[in-house]
Amino acid sequence: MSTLQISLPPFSPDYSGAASALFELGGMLILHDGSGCTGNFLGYDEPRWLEHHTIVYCSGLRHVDAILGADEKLVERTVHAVEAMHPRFVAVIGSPVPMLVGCDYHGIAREIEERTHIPCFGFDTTGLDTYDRGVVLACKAALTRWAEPSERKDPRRINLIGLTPFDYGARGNAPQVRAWFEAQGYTVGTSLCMGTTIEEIESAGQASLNIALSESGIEVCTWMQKRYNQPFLVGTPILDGKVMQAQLQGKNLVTKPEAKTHKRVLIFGEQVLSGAIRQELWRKGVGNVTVCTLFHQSPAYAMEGDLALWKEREVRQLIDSGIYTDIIADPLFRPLVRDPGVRFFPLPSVAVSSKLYWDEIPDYQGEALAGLIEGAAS
Amino acid sequence: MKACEAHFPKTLRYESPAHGGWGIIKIASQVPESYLLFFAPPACGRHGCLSSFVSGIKDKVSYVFFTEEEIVNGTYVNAFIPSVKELLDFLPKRPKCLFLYTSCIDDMLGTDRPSIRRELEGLYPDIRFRFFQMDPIKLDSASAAPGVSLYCNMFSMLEGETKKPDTHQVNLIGNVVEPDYGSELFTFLKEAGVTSIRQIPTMRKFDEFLSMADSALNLVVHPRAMAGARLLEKQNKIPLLEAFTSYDPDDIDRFYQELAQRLGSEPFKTKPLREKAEAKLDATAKELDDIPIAIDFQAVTRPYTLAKVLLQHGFNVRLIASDGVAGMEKPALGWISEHHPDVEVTNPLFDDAPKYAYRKTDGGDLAIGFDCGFMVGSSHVADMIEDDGYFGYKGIERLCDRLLNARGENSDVQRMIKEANLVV
Repeated sequence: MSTLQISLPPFSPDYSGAASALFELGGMLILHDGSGCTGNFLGYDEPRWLEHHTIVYCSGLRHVDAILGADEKLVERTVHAVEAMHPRFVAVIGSPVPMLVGCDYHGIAREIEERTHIPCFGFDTTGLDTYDRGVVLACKAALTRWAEPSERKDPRRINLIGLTPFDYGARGNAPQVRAWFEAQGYTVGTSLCMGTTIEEIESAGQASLNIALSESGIEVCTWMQKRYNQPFLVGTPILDGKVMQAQLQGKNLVTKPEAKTHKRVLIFGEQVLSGAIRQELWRKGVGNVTVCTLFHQSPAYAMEGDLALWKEREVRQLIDSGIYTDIIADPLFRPLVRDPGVRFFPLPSVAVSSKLYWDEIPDYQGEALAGLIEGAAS
Repeated sequence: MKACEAHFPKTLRYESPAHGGWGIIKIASQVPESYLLFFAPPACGRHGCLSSFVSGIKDKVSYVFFTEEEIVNGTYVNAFIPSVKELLDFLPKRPKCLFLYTSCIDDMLGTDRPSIRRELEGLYPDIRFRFFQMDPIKLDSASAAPGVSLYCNMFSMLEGETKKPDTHQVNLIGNVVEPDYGSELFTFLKEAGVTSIRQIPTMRKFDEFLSMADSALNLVVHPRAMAGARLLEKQNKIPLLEAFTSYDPDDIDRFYQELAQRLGSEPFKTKPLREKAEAKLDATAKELDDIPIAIDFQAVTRPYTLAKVLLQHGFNVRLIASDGVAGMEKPALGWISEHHPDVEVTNPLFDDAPKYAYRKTDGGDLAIGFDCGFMVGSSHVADMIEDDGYFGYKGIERLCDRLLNARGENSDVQRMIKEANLVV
């Protein structure tokens, strides 16, 4: 049912997720839209835009073309651009208007591929879902295209899946995560979708373990388990990384402590990072911690009592419920906290507040996040 | 391509980080005591919503998001009336006008906007409702492009509002920022007996907006407001005069002659101002010492005209970055083609633009506008958007000062882009 959002912004859409997942791979990304959707992605959902000179086009879809289904124009213009720019691949990424007219992205991609002889992907994203769905679509497509299953598995080789700027920002968390796993003695095959290459993706099937670093990673890893026969772990190394270290050794470092105080912490955000923060709060003795996933939630990895809400009305009701003493959320949630007795701890998410706060995303293994967790636990 | 070969075929549109404009939300939100409510898929609202935080106008903008199911089965139309009620119940103060925005998909769905508006007007007679479209799929439509229809919709609220026609009042329409009040335009208007200038960016009360209906003349400062001005001409009998910023002294003289005539005034004394402005152009060209100059179409309303004027005064204009050539600019492009056929014209949105983007030319280019500043890798950028409110002979002088300042400083183009808060 439709929802009125008075204060909160819409979250990063699925087409931004698809475009972002392929952003560093040397391709040509085409948002099939009039203009605004491309503007969403480039202006607000892609913190790497200024530094990475990726070719992103808007198809320049116009009303009459949508009505007449003039897909040939898109194909012709794409072929022209490919001849000028020689990208490694093409991705045609959908938006709301083509959804309405039933655009056949896979057919368009096949035709472009036949005419250009380079890989072409078509994504039927709609602008009605959140970024994580687009990340999943693009990761699966990239792996299907470039990574064959392999019988030979390297026991120390892992893939990092779900490493996105929406969840990790673009200020250093992504290389740090990769370096952390390498420091544990692993070889990182591919780190989808940051700091990786098509060549690394091609070797993805040789890894013996996948790590789902975000909720989109869980879905991709579940799919990879079947395609590549690879088990996976869900988690991310934050602060001292001891929780993740234990996970890699098949151990469980922390369990939920018994709640000894009235303290109840509510975390709004992406499921895996929020779950990692909850475990750190547990380590500090805070027993009542609820994760409210703003995007998609993988129920198998949620705890009893966890929530999946995004409508502002419901979010307001939850915050106003009087249950929670401390809230960790994107800074744009702060105005929703009206009770002065409730403490608020800002943790920016690109998928929520975009460039308003993406320069303030903390180092997940550093003092700023440690301070935030310490504060929420105190 | 060379100026003499300039053409603009349609290709995929390359979007550089420096591309964008003010956005229709910023423009509409300047109507005092207004509120904007969007009805759209969530994605359509994201850039506008976030830019409204940056612009400090988020307290005037809210969103209603449809689901795929509602769009497919048509029940999204049921969301309009209850959402307006929920919003009005929430807001601490009732707006005087509520702009209901729809996005591209609504052009395909055929929503019966008039009946929704009628119902809302019946329920809330103290509020004016207007449907606005944020639909870039109609950007190629001269009459229905979002920025054009926006002004028509805004000014339709002035219908029947002409109460006390005031021959001493004029409107400035189409400007998003306040003009440079140092311009001689304001001195001349005063000399001609104009005592009141109405312009939306400075208004605080909705009644001020309504009082535009009493003005004797509309000075249209940007082409996007022309259709709105024509509506006012028909609807409120307010004549219009094109007042787009130009740096060509001939254009400026012509405008002031026409303005004096329209206001029933003696001709304005422009000669000393023109001489001063032209002397400034000559001196600036000398001081800039042949530095290659690039001009961007987002920086000024008439890039070709500016190029022509600068070339006439000895500046070394090398590049014009523009996505086309407007009718009013064709004579200027013709002049450049004839006298300086080697000047480059580049469409920064053309599909091969990334080949040239980020290319450090000779490191010394002076760019007017950061889109081409970004493109040519310039270290010296005059970061103007839509002329920055400059007008007339003073506008020429201000522009020269900007060029000299830019030449003297190393510009951080990335910072400029971030701070500009452009909406693609």
